[in-house]
Amino acid sequence: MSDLPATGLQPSDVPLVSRRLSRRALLGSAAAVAGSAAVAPLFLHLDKLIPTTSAAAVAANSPIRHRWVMVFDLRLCDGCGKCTTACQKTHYLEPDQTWMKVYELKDASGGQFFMPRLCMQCADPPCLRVCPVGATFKNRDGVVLINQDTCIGCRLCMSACPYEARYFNWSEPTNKPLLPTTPTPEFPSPQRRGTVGKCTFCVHHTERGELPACVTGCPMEVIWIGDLQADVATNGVKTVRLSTFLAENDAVRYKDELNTGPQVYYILGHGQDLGF
Amino acid sequence: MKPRGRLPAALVGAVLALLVFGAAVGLAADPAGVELQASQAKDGAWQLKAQVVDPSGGPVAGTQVRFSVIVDFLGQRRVDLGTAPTDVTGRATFLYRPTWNGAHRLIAETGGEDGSAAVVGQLSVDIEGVASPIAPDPVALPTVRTWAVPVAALVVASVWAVLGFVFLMAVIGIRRARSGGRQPFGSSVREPAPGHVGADGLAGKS
Amino acid sequence: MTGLAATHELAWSSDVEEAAIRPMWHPGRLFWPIVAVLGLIVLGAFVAFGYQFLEGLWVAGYSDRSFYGIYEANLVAFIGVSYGGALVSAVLRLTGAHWRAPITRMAEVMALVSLLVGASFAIVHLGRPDRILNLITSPNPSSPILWDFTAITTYLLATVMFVYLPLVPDLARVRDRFPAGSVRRRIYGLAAISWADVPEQRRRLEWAVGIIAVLIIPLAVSVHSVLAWTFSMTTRPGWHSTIFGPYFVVGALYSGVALVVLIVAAFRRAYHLERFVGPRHLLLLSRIMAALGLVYLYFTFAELLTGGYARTKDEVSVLSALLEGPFAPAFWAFMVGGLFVPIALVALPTRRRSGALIAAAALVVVGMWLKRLLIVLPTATAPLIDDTWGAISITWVPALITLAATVAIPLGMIVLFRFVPLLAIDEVEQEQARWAAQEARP
Repeated sequence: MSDLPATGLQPSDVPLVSRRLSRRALLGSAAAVAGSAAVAPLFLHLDKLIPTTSAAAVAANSPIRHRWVMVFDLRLCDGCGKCTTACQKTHYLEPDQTWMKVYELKDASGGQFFMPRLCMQCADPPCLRVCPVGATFKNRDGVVLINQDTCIGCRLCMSACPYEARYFNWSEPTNKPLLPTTPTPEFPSPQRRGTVGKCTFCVHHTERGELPACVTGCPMEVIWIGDLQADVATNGVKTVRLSTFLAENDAVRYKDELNTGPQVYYILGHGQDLGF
Repeated sequence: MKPRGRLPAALVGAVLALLVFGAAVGLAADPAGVELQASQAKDGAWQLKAQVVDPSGGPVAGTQVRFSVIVDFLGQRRVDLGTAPTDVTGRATFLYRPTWNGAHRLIAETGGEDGSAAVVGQLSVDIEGVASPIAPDPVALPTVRTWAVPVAALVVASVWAVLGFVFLMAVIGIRRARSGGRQPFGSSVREPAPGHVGADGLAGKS
Repeated sequence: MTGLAATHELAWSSDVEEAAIRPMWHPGRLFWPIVAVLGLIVLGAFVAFGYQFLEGLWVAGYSDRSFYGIYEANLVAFIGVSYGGALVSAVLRLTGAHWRAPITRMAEVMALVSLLVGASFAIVHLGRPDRILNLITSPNPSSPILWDFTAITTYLLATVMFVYLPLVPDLARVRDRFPAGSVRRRIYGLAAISWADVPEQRRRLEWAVGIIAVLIIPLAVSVHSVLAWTFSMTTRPGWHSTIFGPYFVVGALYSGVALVVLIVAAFRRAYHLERFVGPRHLLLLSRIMAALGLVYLYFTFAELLTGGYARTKDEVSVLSALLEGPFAPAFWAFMVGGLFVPIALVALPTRRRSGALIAAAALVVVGMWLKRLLIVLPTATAPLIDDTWGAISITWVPALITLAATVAIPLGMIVLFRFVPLLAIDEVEQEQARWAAQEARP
């Protein structure tokens, strides 16, 4: 088996050779350990890389100014779709991009009703959790926004959203603002090809003290914008105390059992109150 | 005595007429001013007291007072809180449970139904220490969230470290052993040259 | 005569060496025509990808209610088939299955090439592949796609090592065929790390390969588990199932071993390896494939039973679309053609054994690709609020890219075998010696 040539080395030379070899092994493993040790503190702070999703965590880092919610009074909705039109107009959306979408559904007794659906701005958004590059984030008012300059277009957020609220830019947008604007997460117009977009609760309006487009666009006074922090909600015509409004009208949340913490409430009905 | 019998009837009639007339005067009195006061009550509630007076300063009873608060929410808006009637002294009380903090511009309003102008009384009160009525949704599995990522990162890093280490040791060892006379890795006994006897008493193979 | 011609004068130390190394310089008449045709298809795929990148993903048939499709299925399928290589070279090595010796090199190289092809679909399916580095500059640790990225790169590193390290002795043989001082000798010399076929070197190599063989198994399991969880960690009906991790791993092994059968059968014929790779190899591989197929059948049944018995509204809508609705023809074609028939072909004694086994393997490879489509498409097009299903559209762009990915595997292999020997020479020689010793025994 052995074909070792005669090297003249004596057994007494053994410790010298083994010391050199094991020193190299020692250096190698020391380098690995040192490398890991240098990087280890980074791992201890990796939890900060996890985007904070809970309202409580956001409050811990900055004073909450608002906790935006929306309320839909389905007793009044007649499915006219003007909210969709208003939303698409203010955000320069493509015709397929129905960030606000009105579904025509059947209730348990077989009656037909209309349900407008926009992004629920969940307290614990699955879309935020799965985004590989952190393009989806939450601002301090609880609104979930998308940075279309970071998004790589993997569409995992679309997969994770239980409300089908996200829309992708499958091609270069044709509908753009007249004046060249730099898109921001708060106002992503014009949108970027190959990225995802969704309802922003019109933060570009609310930041300026204006009502969201769908709220002003609804002729039936169905859509309410509210603030849990100020406990108030308005539909542009009437203003109410949000907590009592929700409690008195038995408002519910859609797919509440999924534990995403949606910030949109529905007052159930089937469009029976038409005209006033 | 005959004149005495007639006096009680007349007296009753006069008192009745006076009462009716007085009541009519009282009912017909228009509210001319509302004075609003607020004082803290139990459990964070505030007692609102609206004093409605007529043009001559007298109390206006039985009129509905509408209590509301002005909010600055995407524009100046008014939130109705409720209504309460004024009692005989012209005072309406309303228990207000505030659900938000900050300066409250409270309004007490009455009148205005029959086309006449409504009478408004205002009061600004700073209210603090109010808890939001709707609690934020609790965070699910908070403990898992904090340690899961560092642990996973550590596992990945160690896998890479092991792969790199093994590869490096293999390449280095193979290079070093090219002449065949080096110490085997991990072993402390070296194969003696053919013909020689090593430290462990074993002869070298030829 | 110098250079290449001179090397051909050198005698081959064994028929194994000749069979393994000779095709590096004499690949056969068909080499260049095949490379030209397959290469053209692959080139066409690059053009299609460029067009898709500039135009947007709509050219690939996507829409908001059909947000995942053929690319995502390919990502799972092509990374999946690489598992056959991992099983043959790592698992069979650890279990001491010496019969794998002549096919281990082909299996390892197939694993590497198909892993690279599969991983490229992770880039092809993105809306903005130009921003892929954002995965490194702004990662979100809670994202399954980041876990995919981590797992695939780690597994790729291990696979590269696992292909390279056992290659070292063979690269040394190739090195020794070149005259001293030539460029090729120096290149192969560098790659062969001064291999002198010395026992100490052999020990070191065995130690390293052994460790990586052990490590590569959990790494392989992690890659497909994480790919599966990318689907199953959403709440979508049809995906939100706990069995997805093991389901995808077994599916990958099943389709992977099938592809190994096809590759081995094809390369055996193309490179005249009949002396080393026999019907026995195909049979043993096919039996492993059939066993994995039975496990996959069991998992599929468990999936369908759990969803179908409880019959919640959203699960039922996807399940009925799969079993009775628009996806039914494809689904039952898979069940019969991708599971029952191949398993039967392997289990039952059939005439023209090799032909039956190759047919079975081909059915499995195609069937399992179809199955990945059947996992992705129904749930991706299923409605979550009303009952309007999304539209499926397969355009020329993903069709061409899928075809190119399929041909890229044999193309990559035959190109690589111009640079490395196609047999693990030492292992085959050892196996030959073992057989000879067994034959000689009375």
